Amino acid sequence: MTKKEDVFVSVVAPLRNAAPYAADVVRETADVLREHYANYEVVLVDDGSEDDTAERVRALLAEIPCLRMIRLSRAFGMEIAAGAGLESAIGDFVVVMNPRSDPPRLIPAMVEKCRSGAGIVTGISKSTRPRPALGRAGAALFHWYTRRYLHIDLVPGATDFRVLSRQAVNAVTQIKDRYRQLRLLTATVGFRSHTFEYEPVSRGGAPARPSWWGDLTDAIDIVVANSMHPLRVVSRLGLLASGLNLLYLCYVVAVYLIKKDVMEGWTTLSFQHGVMFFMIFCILTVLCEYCGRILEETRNRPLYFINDELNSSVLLSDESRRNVVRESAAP
Amino acid sequence: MKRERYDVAVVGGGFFGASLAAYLAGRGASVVLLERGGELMQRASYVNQARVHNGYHYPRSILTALRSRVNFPRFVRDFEPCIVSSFEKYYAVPRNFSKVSARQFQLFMERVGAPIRAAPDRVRSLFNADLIEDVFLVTEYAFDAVILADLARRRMEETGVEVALSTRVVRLAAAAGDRIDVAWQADGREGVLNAGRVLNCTYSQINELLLASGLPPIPLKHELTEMALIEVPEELQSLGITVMCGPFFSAMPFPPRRLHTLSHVRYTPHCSWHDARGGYRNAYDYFAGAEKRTHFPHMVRDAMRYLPALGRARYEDSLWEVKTVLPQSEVDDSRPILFKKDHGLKNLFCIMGGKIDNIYDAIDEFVEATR
Repeated sequence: MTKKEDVFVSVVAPLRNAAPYAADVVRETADVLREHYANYEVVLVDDGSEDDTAERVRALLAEIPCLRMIRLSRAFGMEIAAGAGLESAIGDFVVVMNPRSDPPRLIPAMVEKCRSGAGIVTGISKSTRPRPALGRAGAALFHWYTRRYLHIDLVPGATDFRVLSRQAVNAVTQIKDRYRQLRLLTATVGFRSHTFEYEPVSRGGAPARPSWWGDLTDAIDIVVANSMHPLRVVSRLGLLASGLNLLYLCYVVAVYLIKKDVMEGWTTLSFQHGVMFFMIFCILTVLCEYCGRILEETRNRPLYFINDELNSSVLLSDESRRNVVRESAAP
Repeated sequence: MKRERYDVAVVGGGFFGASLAAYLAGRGASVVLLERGGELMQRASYVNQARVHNGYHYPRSILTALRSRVNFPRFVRDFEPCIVSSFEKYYAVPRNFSKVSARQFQLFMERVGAPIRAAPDRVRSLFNADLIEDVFLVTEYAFDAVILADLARRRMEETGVEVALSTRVVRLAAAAGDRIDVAWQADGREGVLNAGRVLNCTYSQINELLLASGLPPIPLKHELTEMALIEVPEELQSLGITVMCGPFFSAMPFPPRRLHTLSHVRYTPHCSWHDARGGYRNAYDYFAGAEKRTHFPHMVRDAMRYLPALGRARYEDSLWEVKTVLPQSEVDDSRPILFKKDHGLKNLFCIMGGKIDNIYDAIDEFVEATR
């Protein structure tokens, strides 16, 4: 066996209804860590699973050392769950993985990459998920927009699999935005970033197909959470609309003064109304989004609530148990 | 043994056994104390956080906190030579994962009358403000277990307790007149003495003695625990710090070694097991056979997130011990004393405390039970 690395590695894995594969992934992860590192921990975050994920993990606590489980009080979503794990992880390097798709055996290579200078290593999926042509076009447009106007370079194919150095974790956990996406937070905090290509696996059946509606919601959330750009665009639009209105007013006055007969004009009127209402609703839409965001932020609720925390308690194996097991004389 | 008959035989020379023996001998009883180790107070009475509780440690159990408040001045007065008060003691409450908020902690302490003040800025600035909600200066002391053992020994001498070291009690049996026969072994020799009352003060060994005597065991939970002994950096030298209440840590002065102990709620217990649940195993045997690989890297990495200066602490070694608690303590925050009268045998008392300064409750309870 190779000499174990003297670096403390934490692995954060959010679990949601993961009963079919949780035990296997946890075991595999623990094996990989035990083989490579003298000190490590696995922080499992149960994101309000409705199946028996928690019970299965609880059984592992008596078997696998350095295992921790944080149980959230309900489902808060993968991102918040990963955030809860990050806030509790103690390692010099913290690996965040999606137990459904990320292979634990790649952890040492990713950590190595992170140790050699990068603050953050992001996993890139070699096989991108299938999308229809329209969806691909939408994604391309969105990536172009975020790069051009939000100055966020979203790497296409980036997955949840990533490694953060302690400094990066400390920076990320200081950001208390309601809307959290680790890939954006890691982009926000800066630090040198590397990517790592790998082939995701598929546990617990095929992953859910990306829904058009879900992607759109994600895109809006990302833009609104990270940029004032749309707000600025519509405020310009509002300015433009009022300018045009002013011109139109001049036109109306001029027509009134010059022309004797002003009965026609239905087309102009309808057209002007149409344009104005279009702009007003555009502006309202964007304002609504930002108002909603402000409301969320000002409520200042905790991001998540914790049900309880459980830790490994591994006894010596039966072979090395020293004392005889006696009949208990209990009545 | 000098005699064959005693009024009281105390099994176990920890702080509880020694104190009860001295108390009873002081009231005129003939008392023998049997300790299996070569010295008094070498195990859990020595290996602990050395904290003289003053209520702060139990912000969710008003009874435990109040009893600590009552016992604190008494203990400090009675055992004055071993009390170490030359450090400032701070309690810090984290923002996340804590079972109490800073406000709750403060209100609770004010309600039980425990002195509590806002920490000065020089101490506050040692903590990570993102993770710590508030820091309080409190009145809590440490004790030097070596001096305490000396005091206990002297008290037994003064009161005329006969102390038998390296003597193991193997069995208890009912004898005529509601008395108890105590079978003992000491380096090859063995014998039986007769006692009017037997106090089983053997902490983690309570069930060992009960089972060997064919008596019903008491549900107890044991933990294999580790405290790291560390040399803290300059700015923490004269401080004792506890972060609570939840999976956090304590850095307390440990006077006998002139170091600090670092203990962590999550990493100090290495594993736990229950007596009389899935087969009994002797705690000392288990302790001797268990792999003792330090959790210090875990402890310090978590602790330095809250208190960055701890990252510069130097690890010296670890103190290992079996910690025994009542299973009910897992559920609530209370730390009651186990006091069982006539357990299986008439005049057999099983007494176990979780905290050194709880001794007065044990003595009072005993006086009441035997009145």
